Amino acid sequence: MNLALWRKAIVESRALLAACAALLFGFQWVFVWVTSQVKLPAIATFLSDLPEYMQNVVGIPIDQVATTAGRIALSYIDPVVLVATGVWAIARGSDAVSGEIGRGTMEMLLAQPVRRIAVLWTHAGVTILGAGVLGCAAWLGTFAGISTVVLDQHVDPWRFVPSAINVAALTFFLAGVATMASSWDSYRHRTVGLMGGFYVVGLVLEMTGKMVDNLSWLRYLTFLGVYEPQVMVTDRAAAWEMTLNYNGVLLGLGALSYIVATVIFCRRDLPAPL
Amino acid sequence: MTSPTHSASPSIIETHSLGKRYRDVTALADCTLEVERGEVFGLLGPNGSGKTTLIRLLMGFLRPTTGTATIDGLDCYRQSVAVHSRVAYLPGDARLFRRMRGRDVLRFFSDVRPGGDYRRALALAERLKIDLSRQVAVCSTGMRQKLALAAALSAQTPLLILDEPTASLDPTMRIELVAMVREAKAAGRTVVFSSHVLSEVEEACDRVAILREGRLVHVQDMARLARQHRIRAQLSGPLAPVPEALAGQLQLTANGQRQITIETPGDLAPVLGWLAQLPLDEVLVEPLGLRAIYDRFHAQVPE
Repeated sequence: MNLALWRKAIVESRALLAACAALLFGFQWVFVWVTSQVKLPAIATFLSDLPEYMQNVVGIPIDQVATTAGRIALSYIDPVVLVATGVWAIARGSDAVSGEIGRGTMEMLLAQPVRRIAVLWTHAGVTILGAGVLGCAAWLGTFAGISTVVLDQHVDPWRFVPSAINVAALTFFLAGVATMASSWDSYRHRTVGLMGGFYVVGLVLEMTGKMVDNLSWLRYLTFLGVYEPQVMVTDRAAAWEMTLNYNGVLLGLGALSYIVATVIFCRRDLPAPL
Repeated sequence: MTSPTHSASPSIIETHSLGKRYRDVTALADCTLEVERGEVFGLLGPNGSGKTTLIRLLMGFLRPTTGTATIDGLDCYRQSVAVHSRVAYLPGDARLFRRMRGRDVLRFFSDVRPGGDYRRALALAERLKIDLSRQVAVCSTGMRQKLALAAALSAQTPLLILDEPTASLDPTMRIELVAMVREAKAAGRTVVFSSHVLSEVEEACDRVAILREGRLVHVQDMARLARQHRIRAQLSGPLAPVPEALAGQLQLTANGQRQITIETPGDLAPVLGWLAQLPLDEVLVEPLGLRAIYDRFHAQVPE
């Protein structure tokens, strides 16, 4: 283990991690407060008037959304959470190889007596720790909200732990795929573009699969098919089984991506600084 | 030195039929050379001649398409970590971590390398007049190059590879760098020095390899070159035949109708007697110089 590499990776990433974690923590807290401001009967009436295909997008039965815990659970599929975790995962993953090559710093780094695998895994280690931090920040925000805001119904904050784990697993998976793309690429902006496209296509497949019954099989083609933190809260009986299965898929595919990234990076030619 | 010698060979660098191709482009072909321990070895050639590819192959950044390269008996590609513990490297356009301050850059490179010497790096930075409090992002290109130079030279490795190190340095710093190369040689270190500036190479190097279109075309011993001379003169009469003792050694070239150029391979003394008998005016005797050797392979041919 090279402490200098760890120090560098932490220093380079701490500002982004702090910003994303603060955003998630604050957002979850505020979301709980907003939830407390809207009365349950009003929400239930509003939701039941929505077209069925829109109700499907929520991913949980409307009667569950009308509960306090169900509405708080929706915060985990809010675009703010998806953007914050996506920004961390794609920014860090794309930086791993193509970012360093694009800035020309990879050459100076690899001229030192350090293994390529150490360079990549140190970077990945900090990214994965960050994914865990973001999951914790999201849960802590929910916990802080539930602890400080007066709600219509009693809500156990520990019910949101599987959701927070799902957030961390999704971040790990995205970071793994971004690192794999980065390990093959030499231009960070292209890696970011590829990952942006990957994310949007995944989102479109997920939404289409949910909205159109005949196309529900599309959800098997996207990573968002195994991202259902809201269901992990509302379906208490299946919560831990889902946690194992869904997160197993995300963590497995993420780990596979990191392995492929390692193989590519350790075998590729290092181009001259651009 | 941080690393004990691994090989007993007098050569620290050996390449055999080394080559690198990118699809249809041959960046380096069939390069066989040896660099002896303790010498300063220059690489000369225009852009695209293969100097940087050769250096990148030695650094293990590129996988060779053909042949092998070893440093201190270690395969440059397969044993690159062990090789890097014996090599300090400075690229022509060194890019450093933009958010770090100069002091942090030196600290990082000292810490990342086992046996790194931060104090030595600071001393070098002082000698090179680097402002270590500034962030890399706001440093000029020359300042960044000096910072990278301090980081590279602070590593006490037996081999230094400098790829066009003076490209963005001012004349004062170029002189300082050549002095540092000499000091490294005096300390027993081997230096590979690539440059476009003939005078620097001439001043610093013991031997020089000239590359052209990805091929090693000539290796020049600089001590031998220093003994070679070029005589330019105007002929005022017919040219007497070259004596048998000198035939085959001298290179005669007639430039125009009356002007001749004679290149001598070594000691000038045996030639002077013959020259004295020739009908020559406006005789100019000068050391041959690296430029003449370089021009043999890279002279601009008028269209």
